[in-house]
Parts: sequence; structure tokens; C-alpha cells
Amino acid sequence: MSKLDAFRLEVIRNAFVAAAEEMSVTIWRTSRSTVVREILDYSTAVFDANGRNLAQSARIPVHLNSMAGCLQVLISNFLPLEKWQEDNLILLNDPYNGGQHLPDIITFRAVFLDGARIGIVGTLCHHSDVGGGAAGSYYADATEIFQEGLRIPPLSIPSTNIIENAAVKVMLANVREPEKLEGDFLAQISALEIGKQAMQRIHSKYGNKIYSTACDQILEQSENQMIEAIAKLPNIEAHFEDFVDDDGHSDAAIRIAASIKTINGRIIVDFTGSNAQVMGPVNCTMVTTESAVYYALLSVLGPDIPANTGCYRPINIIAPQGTVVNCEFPAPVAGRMATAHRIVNVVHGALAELLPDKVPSAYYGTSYVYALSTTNADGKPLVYFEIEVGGGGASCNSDGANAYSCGLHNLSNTPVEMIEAEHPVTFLEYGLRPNSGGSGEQRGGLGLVRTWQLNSETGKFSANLERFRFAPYGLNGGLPAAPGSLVLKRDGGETELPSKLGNKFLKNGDIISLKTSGGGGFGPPEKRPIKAVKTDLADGYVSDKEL
Amino acid sequence: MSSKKSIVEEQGIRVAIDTGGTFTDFQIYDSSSGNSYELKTPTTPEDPSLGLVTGLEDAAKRFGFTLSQIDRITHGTTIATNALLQSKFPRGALITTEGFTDVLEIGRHVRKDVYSLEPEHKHILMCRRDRFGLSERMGASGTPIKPVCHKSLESIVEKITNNGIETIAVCLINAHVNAQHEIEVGNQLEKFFPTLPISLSTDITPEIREYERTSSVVLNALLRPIVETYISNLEARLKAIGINAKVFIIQSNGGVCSPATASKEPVRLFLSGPSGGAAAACHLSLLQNKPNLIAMDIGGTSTDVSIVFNGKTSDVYQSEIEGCALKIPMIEIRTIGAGGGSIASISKPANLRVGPESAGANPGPAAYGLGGELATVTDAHVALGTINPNSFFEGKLDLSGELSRKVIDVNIAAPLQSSIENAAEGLVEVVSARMSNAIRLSLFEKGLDPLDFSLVGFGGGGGLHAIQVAEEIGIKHVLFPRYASTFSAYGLLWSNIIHDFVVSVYGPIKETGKQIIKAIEKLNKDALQQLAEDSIALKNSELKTALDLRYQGQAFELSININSDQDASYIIDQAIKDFHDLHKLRYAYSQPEAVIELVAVRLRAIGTIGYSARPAPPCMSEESIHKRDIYHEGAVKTVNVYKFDNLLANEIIEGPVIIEQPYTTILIPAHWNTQLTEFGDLEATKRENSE
Repeated sequence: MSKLDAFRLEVIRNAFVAAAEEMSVTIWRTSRSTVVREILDYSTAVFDANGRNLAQSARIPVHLNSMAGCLQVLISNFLPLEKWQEDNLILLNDPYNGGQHLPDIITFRAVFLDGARIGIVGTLCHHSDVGGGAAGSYYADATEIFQEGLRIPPLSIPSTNIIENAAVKVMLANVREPEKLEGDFLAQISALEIGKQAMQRIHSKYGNKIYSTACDQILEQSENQMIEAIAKLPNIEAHFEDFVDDDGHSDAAIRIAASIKTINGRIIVDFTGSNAQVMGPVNCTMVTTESAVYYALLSVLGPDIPANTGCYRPINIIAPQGTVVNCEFPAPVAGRMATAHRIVNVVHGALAELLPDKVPSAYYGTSYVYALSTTNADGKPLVYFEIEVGGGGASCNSDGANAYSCGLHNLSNTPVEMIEAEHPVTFLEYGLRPNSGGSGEQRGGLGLVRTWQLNSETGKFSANLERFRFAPYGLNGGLPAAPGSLVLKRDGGETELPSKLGNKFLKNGDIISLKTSGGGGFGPPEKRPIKAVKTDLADGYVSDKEL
Repeated sequence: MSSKKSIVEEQGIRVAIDTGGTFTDFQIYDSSSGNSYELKTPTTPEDPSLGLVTGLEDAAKRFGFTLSQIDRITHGTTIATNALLQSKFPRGALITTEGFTDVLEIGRHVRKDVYSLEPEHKHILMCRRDRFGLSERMGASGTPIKPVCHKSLESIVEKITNNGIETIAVCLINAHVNAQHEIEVGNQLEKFFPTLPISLSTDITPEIREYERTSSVVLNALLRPIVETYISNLEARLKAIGINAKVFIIQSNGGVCSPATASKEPVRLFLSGPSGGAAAACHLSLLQNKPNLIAMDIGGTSTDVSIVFNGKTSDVYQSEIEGCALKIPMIEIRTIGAGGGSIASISKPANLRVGPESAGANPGPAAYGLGGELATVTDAHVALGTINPNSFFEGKLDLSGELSRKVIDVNIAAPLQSSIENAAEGLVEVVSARMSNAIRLSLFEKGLDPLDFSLVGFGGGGGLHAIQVAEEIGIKHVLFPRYASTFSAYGLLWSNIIHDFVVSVYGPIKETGKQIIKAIEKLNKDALQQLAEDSIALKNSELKTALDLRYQGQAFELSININSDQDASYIIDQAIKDFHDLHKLRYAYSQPEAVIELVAVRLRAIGTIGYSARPAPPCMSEESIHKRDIYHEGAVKTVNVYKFDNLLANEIIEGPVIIEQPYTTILIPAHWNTQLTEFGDLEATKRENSE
């Protein structure tokens, strides 16, 4: 088959993107938990017959860039491609078999047409709870994965009458809010069906020759664009390091170090020198680390390059086994985003040495996760789960964005009115946090304040937070942002709480206040134009009052 | 309104005016003769009412009527959209619950471009110094936690006074459950600021989700001074030229309202233009007896897609414009950034992109000769010969085929080492494919099959892409309306008065029987009162009630129509059944055992203001067919070129052929036939034997 022209190729590539988007809309519209339907913590993607990622929905980078890796692990360790069956569903959440952490349930389905496998469709959904030591399954006290919830190894089960399946029944019996998990899981299954139909339609329209040529060329095109971008980098080795605050068990800072160099059109990212894996749940499996690196490189080298497996080909990642960036079984991993975001901060920091005008200062660099467990009037468990963001890093030509979902995740927020309608809390404040952006010629974006009061006799609170000690860095003379904090107000007194917290008991009237970090500043603060300083003061983004 | 018989009783002239960014479109219907006319004039952006009035005078001269004969004007305006696009707003203040003044700025903080490190542009609408926190708090159950603190309110009033604030928005937390505090604050503010417009969130959209409600009421507040000025200018200008017609303004829901309502709730005008196109498609669906249509309006910078299913468009209750959330009922329209002015480019190595960047009206496509150096979709058509450079826009705009060929060559053909014609045809194909994807997504969301639909192509570019799009999604019938380039205005001509009302009722549906009945009573009362204010007779009014339902825990509701004359248990049982069915149709599954939650009771009040069948078009003068060379399907072909107005009914014309209208061009490709329908529209059908 000769090559397809650029027009035909673009038409077919867009059709694959549309297939992934149709799947995404299906999950959004039918999901049940606030984490999926409001916060939008899910992703969808389509793959060719060999399991290579062709197109992604515009959702969460850390999911999207892990799904091809996950699929490769499945194919080589669990079920070779030729054994995938038309009517079966593949599902898993096991971090030690291609997953990232237990709340993320991943589903795949092979797409067949006239008896031949033509592609694979996949979804990844963050479920609000999969059991384990704390509500929301972010158990900060965990020291091994067994405490983190239900672990589902790769399974191949019939895709019909799914709720009656024994494996699904076991899942539902082990989680705090089975109705939500069931609803979100059905949304995932429904999206696979929609994706399957879309892939079949594309294949029928063009026929196998054009279809498979297009698959090859789509990947090739992205690969070539990536190689071209790499070729433009200066030929020097760049180093950068940053730290994760702690693992929740000791005060020891966790070092993440990376060096970046290019050899013959390839880019090598080496994490040698990073911390050994830790006792608490901030470890990353290799799939998570790869996903973070892919995102970090793509965002700087080619944000316009269509993201797919082709982009990954010129990238080599060295992450020694047994380190916090490539942990070994049975290390706990629930809070892996603390480290994964830091990987992005570090790779961006190293790239800033190579491309000083292209890389912004550090964004807040963590997923601010907490969960409150209460019971409803019928005594059923109720989980209020939150993932919050902070401020964006400033760049050479703009201030950082205030309260903006940056980097490795891409999350929305849950409306306060929605939370109050479902959970026994009253919010006192949800707003921007003045003075939290790093000063600079361009100012870092502001973080957020979330303060609420418990209106229930008891509640259990757990948190996986970060950036309380090591603030998001500034570049080019810009200052770091303000770090985050967590405070408990009880009986008129105030207590600073640690960033990682497992099952803290709360009582009626307790107030929890989370402040998230801003983004780093860019350029020396004394070069900030007077007009911008005046606006900052008039609008209270910056204040001389201690806040 | 199911019969095709005319129920128009008036004898005067009815005019519909659709003011767009570049052109103002007119449709004129003379009810005494049954004739209708179209006209296009340039828009005057500084004060669009000026160009509007000039156009009316021009139309009267051209079509031979006097201005005083006009008895009804229906007007669609982009004034709200333009104000937002250009951020040209007066200074406004927001009063909200203490602790929540940043909700407007935080928004939902998600990004659309996953890999970009540049933050997306955000309209903050009201800056932080103009947002004030009021000491008060309503609980989630509707019980006040803290009363409105008058001292706190007075201190806010003091800060607003003499500070250049021209409009005020109020949005308090949980006001959707109990609006008491908002009403109290509103009353106080009216005393302090008798001349300032004050907008309350619960008057605009009494629904849960504080950001969406705040954003909606803030947009409303900011638009009020602008729309008030515009409407009073318009009324004065109309009066000055002797027009004494009743004026209606079209809203995003496809219905019209009085100028007074438009001034008070201008946030309802955002889709004022595009909703005319959807309304026109509904009208066409009825006329042609084709219940399922896809309406595709291809303009200069964007394409709007709406779906008519069983004769009706559907509505959405939440949407986004320029990144600002809007919780206002709107006709469901999907807009993509692809149109005649969309720019094509090659990023290295060999990755073709078309749009969403647009050349706009100035410099516009290179063919305009205004200095455009980038290749646009229009240039591709000129290079292919499908657009005749000498008869563009009634021949008033001279195009340069040479310039078009040059930009296609430099920007596309040379980098890809292809011929100019091949590049131009490829470019057109890529744009059509993007439009097809948008249509497929619109149908897909409703669980509908393209094979059950006909496509309607209109707007400046509809004629050149519609059949290619139809081929791409497997549709075999395409309609080109007689007035393709002023079709949205045509829709405005026949729009009804529509008012939407909503009451939030939250809980498992089986436990809400009493609340549903209470809500229906309140909604009916409000609706009848409003229709009476519009002087709509009872026999010309229609009330439609619906429940917004979802499975417990879902974020999105499906609207289920109910028969509000029935008792509660009948309504509930029927709604539950219909909900499961619709969920299954749209999302491929239903859960019969799951709890269904009611979120809101909605009522739409419709006042029919007349509708008429279109008379068959007069047979025009003798044919004047000429021939032209176009590049089509990989080769140069000599094709016949017809004038639309000269076509004869029942004559079957085989493609490839070009049909020209005063403001637009239609391409009927090989393998397709076309003929006039009895109402004077053009229908194209794929030939049976072709594949």
C-alpha cells in the first residue's frame, strides 16, 4: 500500500480522535460519583489492532499516557493479543500489572469486524472508593498495597450481563459506596461499546488497507515531529532536582533527580540518584513514571503534536528498580501523584536549562486529595472526596493562572452547593489565597482556600497533600510560591495538621481549612511593572496584610 | 400547529432581521400577496441599529412597499455575543455570600488543551475589587443559617456608591433552594440605587451549582446597560422613519420575547442569531414533511449544527460561551471553528491543519485582495473554480482567482509537493470531514442514526460542503433552502413567543408527588400571566411541562415531557418509564432498579404568533445556462452552471453541476441528482446505482 496523502490522513486521524471523544462524553453524561461527573477524573483512548495508542480524548494526561504502557504489560504478561476475544472485557486496577493505583479501574475491549481484530478501545476511571484503610482509598498510613483497597489483577470476563459477574460482585462487596462504583463502572462499559462502534465504522468506511496504513502513518507522523523537536535541543546535559515533602511515616524529604540529554535524535531521561522507594504510599510504578515523563516532554517539545504511541518512540527513560520512581511490590502507591507531579516539575526544570524561554516556573505540583467519611441517615457510609488544584507557574510572557488545573492532571471542581446537598458540611470559604503566588517580573498564580465545618456527630478525615515544605520553584530570578497548609480549628483553638493524614477523627463543629500552594514567579520581582503591582494590590491578589 | 394551513391573519408586511458580525440579513414576507424577499446589507458594528434601518429603507425601495406597512419585526442580534467577544462591558459589581467572592474567577478550572503550558484566556467579567462578600448564609436545606446582616450590606453599598459602577449582580449560596435572602438584598439595593439595573441569580436561573449561576447572572448584569441602550436606539430609529411595528427579539431558546424582556434578561440573547437557523430548519421540516433534519449553517468563521428530530430541535440547559458558563435554556447547537474563512496550514513535517483560526472579514481570504496571505477554505473553492470570482455576492465583490491559487500553492501545495488543484480539493475534504465529525457527535449524543436524516445546507458555505458532508456520514438526501444565505432570518420570520420557567425540586421522584403538583400550579400561573402580558390569546398558547430526571448520583439530567393534567402518581409512573427508555436510547443502557432523582420541573409557554405555508415560487425567465471548468474529483470537468431562480419545478438535473444563488453557490457532485421541490427549495439525492 502506498502512502496516504496528508488530507486523507488528517481526515482519518480526526475520526479516531472523535471516537475517543464520543467515549468521553458517554462517561461524563452517565457517571454517578462527584469525582467522575464533576471533577472529571477519567480518560478514554483508542488503539490500533496491535495495541498502539492512536488517539486520546482531551482529558487527563497521567491517565492517557499510561494506557498504552498498561496495554503492553497486559499483552506480554497476561493475555497475548491473539487470545483477546470479541465479547470479553479486560479489567484491572493492579499497579503491579500495568495500573497506577487502586482507585483507577481500567477497562479494555478488543474491537472485531468480520472476525478480525481491528483495534482496542480503553477507559480509565478514578472511582470514589475501592475499599482499604480509609474512605476514598487514599490511606496515608499504609505501608503495603494490601491496606489500600481491593486489588483486581487483569481479568478477562464476558462483557454481557456484567453486574451479575462474580468478579464484579466481589468488587461491589468490598467498597464503601457500591452504587457509585456500579454506576461509574457501567458508564465505562457503555463507553467501550460506543468506542467499538466508532472504530468499526471507520474501518468499514475505508477498508482494511487504508485503515491499517493510516494507523501506521499516524504514529509515524507524530514520531517524526517529536524527533524534529528533539533535534532542535542544544547538545548539553541538563540536571534538576526537587523534593517530595515526606511519605507520611517519617520527616525525611524524598529526592527526585533527573538528567536529560539527547543522543542521535533520541532523548534520554535518567532518574538515577532519586530516592529509594519509601514506606508510605507516594511511590510510583514504572507506568506512572513513564506517563509523567511523556506528558512533561510533550508539553514543552510539542504541545501541538497529536499525542499517541509515536510520540513515545524517541524517548528513553532510565528509572532504577526499587526507587520511588520505579517501586517494587508490595509498596503502597495510592498517593503516587505527589511524586508523579514532582517528576513533571523536575523534567520541566531540566528542560528550562535547555529552553529558558519555553518553560514556565513550577505549578503547584500536586493533587490536593482529601476525603471525609461520614454516614447518612440510614447508616450507610458516605464519602466526601476532593481533589483540589493551586496556582500555575509564571512564564517569560505571562503571569501564572490563578486556581488553574495544570500539568499532569486536568480536574474540575465540585460545586460547594453540590457538596452541601449531599454531605454534612457547611463551607465557610472557597476562594483565592492572596500572596500565595511567587513574586517575579511575572507573578505566579494564586492557590486556593477551602474551609468547611462538619455538621455531623462524627467524621473520619484523611488527606494526601504535598508542597507543605518544598515550595514550587521560581525561574530566572522569580521567587518560589507559598507552600500549602492544613489547619484544624476546634473549640476556639487551631492546630496545624501534617500533609499526610490517615483517619483523623473529627467531631461536630470542627473546622478544616486547606490552603493550596500557588505557582512560582518568573524573572526578578524588582522588574515587575509598577502598573501590574498596583493592580495586584487593588484586587488584593497581593496584600501587605499577613494572610 | 400541525396543519400546513396558514393561520396568519394580518395583512401587513412582516420583516425578520438577523444582524450578524459581517452582514445584516433580511427576510420580508408580504402577507397580502404571499410573496417573500431576501436582502443582505453590511452590518454597522458601532451601532447595528443604523445598518438595520438603512437596510429596511433599501428593502422598501427595492421591493416596492412603504415602511408604514410593516406591522411586525422579528430581530436576531449578536449584540450580546459581540460584547463578550470584545470584553466591551460597563463596570459592574457582584454581591455574593461572604467567603465566596472568588467563585466567579475560579470557575471550574479545567483546561481544554491538555498539553499546552499557556493558560487559556479567561474572561473574569468583574474584577476582584468589584466583588463583595455579604454576611449572610442560607443552608443547603433552605433553612437560613445566618440572616442578612444590614450593616454588612450598607458597607458594601458605601463602597459601590460613586465608584463608577453601572450595574449590580447578586448571587448568594444556596439561593436556588430558598431565594429569600436574594430577594431581601434586591429590595434593599433598589432603594439605595433606584437608577441602577439589579440582577438576581434566582430570577435568571434558580438552579444548583454556584459558579454557573454566578456566571449567568453576572453576564446578565453586564449586558443590561448595553442591550437597554441598543433597544432604545433601535426603537427611536424605527419611529423616526415611520415604522410603527410590533418588535420582537429572538432568544437562545428559539422563541421571541418583547424588547422589555430582552432588556431585563439580555443573557437570554446569546444564541439569538444561530437559533434562527434552527427555527428555520424546524419550519422546513414541517413544510417538506421531513421530520428528521440536520441543519448545517456554514458561515465565515464557524459552522453551527442543530438536529431536528420528529420535527423539533432539542434544548440544553447548560452551556458555555467563550469559556463562561451559562445556565439558560438554549436550542442545542454545536459550533465548530470551521467556515469559509478558516485558515489552512502545514506544520512540519507534513501535518495539515484547517481552522479554527480564521481570516475574518478583513483581510479575509486572499481572493478578496485585501492583503490576505494565508490559504482559506474560500480560496480553495475559488482555485477549484466552484466559486465564480466574478459573481461573488451579487457580483459586488470582485475576487481574484490568481491570488487564491498563489496562497494555496505557497502554503499547501508546495510543502506537500502536490498540484494546486489537488491541494485545494484535499483542503475542502478535510474541512468537510471536521463538519461531519461534529454532526456525528451531535447525533451520537442522542443515540440517533444518520441514515434516518436529511441534511440541510445553508449559510454562505452550505452549498459547497453539504453533499460532501452527507457522503462522509452516509446521508442520501440533502436540501438547499431557497434563501440559503438568509435562512436564519427566514426562521425568525416564523418564530413563536417562548418563555421558559423552572422550579427546583430535589429528591427521589417517588417521594416528590406533592411538590410536583405544587410546582406545576406555580409554573402555570406564572406562564399564563406572562402570556397575558404579551397579549397572547389563550387559543394561541401552549404550555409544555417536563421533569428533569437522572439516576441518583448522575450530574446530567434528561428532560422528560409529562402530561400535567394528570394526577401525581400517573405523572410519576409514566415519567419513570420514559426516562429508562430514553437513557437506554442515548447511552446504550438503563438500570430499571436504580433510584431516579427529580431535579427540576420545567415549563415552556409558547404563544404562537402565526405561521404560513410558503407559496410555490413563480416560474422565472427562460433558462440561461452557461458552462464553466471546475476541478472535481481529481480532474478538470466542464459543467453546466444554472441560476437558482431560473430552475423549473420537476426538472431533474444530473451532477456534476453548479447552481448559483445571489449570495451563495451550490455544488451538486457527480453521482447526485437534484430538482426543485414544490416549495421552491432544492433537493439533492444520491443516484441509486452509484457507490
